[in-house]
Amino acid sequence: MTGTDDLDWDAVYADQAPRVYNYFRFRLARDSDVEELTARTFERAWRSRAHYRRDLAGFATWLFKIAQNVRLDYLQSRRGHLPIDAALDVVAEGTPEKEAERNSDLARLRALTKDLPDRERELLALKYGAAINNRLIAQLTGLSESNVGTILHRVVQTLRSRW
Amino acid sequence: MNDDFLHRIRVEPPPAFMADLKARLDRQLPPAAAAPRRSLFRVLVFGLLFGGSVFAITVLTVNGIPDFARNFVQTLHQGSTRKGDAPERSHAATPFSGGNRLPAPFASRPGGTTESGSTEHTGEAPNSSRGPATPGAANNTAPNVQSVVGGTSTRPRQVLNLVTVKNLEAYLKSRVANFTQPYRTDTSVTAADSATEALAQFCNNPATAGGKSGPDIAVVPRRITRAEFGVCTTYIGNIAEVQMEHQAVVLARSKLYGTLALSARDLFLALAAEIPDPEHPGALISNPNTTWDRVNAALGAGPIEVFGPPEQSITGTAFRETLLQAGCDAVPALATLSQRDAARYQHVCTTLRKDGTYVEIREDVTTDTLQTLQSHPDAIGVLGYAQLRLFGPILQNNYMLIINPVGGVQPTPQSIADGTYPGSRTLYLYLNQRRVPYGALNLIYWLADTNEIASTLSSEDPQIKGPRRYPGPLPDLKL
Repeated sequence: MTGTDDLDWDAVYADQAPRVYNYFRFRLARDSDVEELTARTFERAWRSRAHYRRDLAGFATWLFKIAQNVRLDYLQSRRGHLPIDAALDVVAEGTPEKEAERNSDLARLRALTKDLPDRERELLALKYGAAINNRLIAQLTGLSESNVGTILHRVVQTLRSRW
Repeated sequence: MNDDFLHRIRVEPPPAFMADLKARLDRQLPPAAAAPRRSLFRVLVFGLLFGGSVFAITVLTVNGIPDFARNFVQTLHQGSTRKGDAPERSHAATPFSGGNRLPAPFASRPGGTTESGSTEHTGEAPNSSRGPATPGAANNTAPNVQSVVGGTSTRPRQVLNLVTVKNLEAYLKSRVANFTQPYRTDTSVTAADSATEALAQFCNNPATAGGKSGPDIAVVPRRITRAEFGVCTTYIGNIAEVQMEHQAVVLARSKLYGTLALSARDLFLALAAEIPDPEHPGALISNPNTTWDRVNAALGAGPIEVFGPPEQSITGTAFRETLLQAGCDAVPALATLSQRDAARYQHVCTTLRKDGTYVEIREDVTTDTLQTLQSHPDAIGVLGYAQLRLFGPILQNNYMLIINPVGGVQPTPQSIADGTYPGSRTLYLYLNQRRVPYGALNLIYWLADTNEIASTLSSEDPQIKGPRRYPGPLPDLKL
């Protein structure tokens, strides 16, 4: 069962592209990387969409699995260079543009979450970047739905107290 | 929960970017172009199966069981009884969920193999009372059956040659054994002594090998070097690279005494069969260390007791070739040996002591394994990441165990994927792009769970031709 026959791909793109874009904004440091990885995700998904099987996963689950893989590819390809978070620290110093960026909400979030475990950052990106529900996040992360809610609640409380 | 400050961070993507990406996507294949073909194919297959079944039932009902069918079943029964191990290798026993990954027509191998064919027909044997299964009849009809089976073949079976290293041979054979090829293709797995030799065979020069080509696929536990890549492209042209999977070993310990601040070097000095003599660093001695403080004064005087998988098992091999090797590389006194005698160095680095300090337990993690660790709170357990993960919530709720970091690094999906956890490694798969036998891509799809190689065979990369694909995110391991 491919399940792609009756999908409106224009609507899928319009709905999912902002989610994937914001997911990468939450997870990456540079906007140019965000656009690049968003494009890679959709190109990969479009290329393989005939293989999508509705009986195995919802479309958003399938798409975000691809996005997670694309991000891992990206991280791996940068192996041997500075890690992304370290790169953020380096480039964020000095120029007025970077200073302005640091003052933005996103930069503040990046600074506050820099020392969080990867799992917590992934949950934040899926919840508030991709704006997807806890059930879907649970499918994507292998956690239980209640566990996702609990972790997010704890992390958000901590962030709010430091915001 | 007041989380507006996080929701506010979302933005709309730049319109120019959205439009540009949409245009690029629209230039790809029209949406779901392949789906109707697959649907049509399935309809045809199911139609043929259904039609054939109706026809067979009708013929049997009207005419009874014809002699040739009776003889055919009898002959197959004769053949299957010669293959004693066949019933244990049924498709239902495959540990992979990969059956879902392949289209339905791929679920059985045309022409059959030793495993699949005999298993199916062995299932028929007890019902042989449906036909006159007399030995005489089988003997008389055997030549006819051979000709019938042979007559269905329009081309000879092709062998897909895969080369790997000895330590991965059994693992890959088990993976391949559970793969049923959609084409008339068999897979042969051969093993070289090392990754270097396996890649040398894969990249061999046909001109100097008497015109004989190298293996079609190589699976090795490290990435090809730039020098090897240069040789490969010179002799066999472009090659494609796929990251097949990550392997990781995890150290677990009872929560009672907490974690030990172990490094890979500590593990090597505690568990290797031979270590440098502290008084004569140039010489090697049998490992005399019995307590952790002998290895590293900061570790305390607890006894060295490690429960781990058999040395030659897949997990045991991964343990020796990742953690033990990393620890060995960190011992300066062995640097000279590595320069002088590489084979001896390799042996010293990856040979476990056998004086009872390292206690071999089953490779597959069971509740017995976990209870053993819990009842030996001083001990360290060496376990496979994937197997330990299978226990999931059971571990959290029922066992007082804790994951022990190595060199301060916990085995997380991130640290395993990026290689910072020293107990992890990645299996790499290489394919000769110039000669892609039919069946190769399906095999890669089976082994690496990717079909991207098919669509990016000609892609370019500054370092290496072909796609680089990384396994999906690993689930967190919670104890």
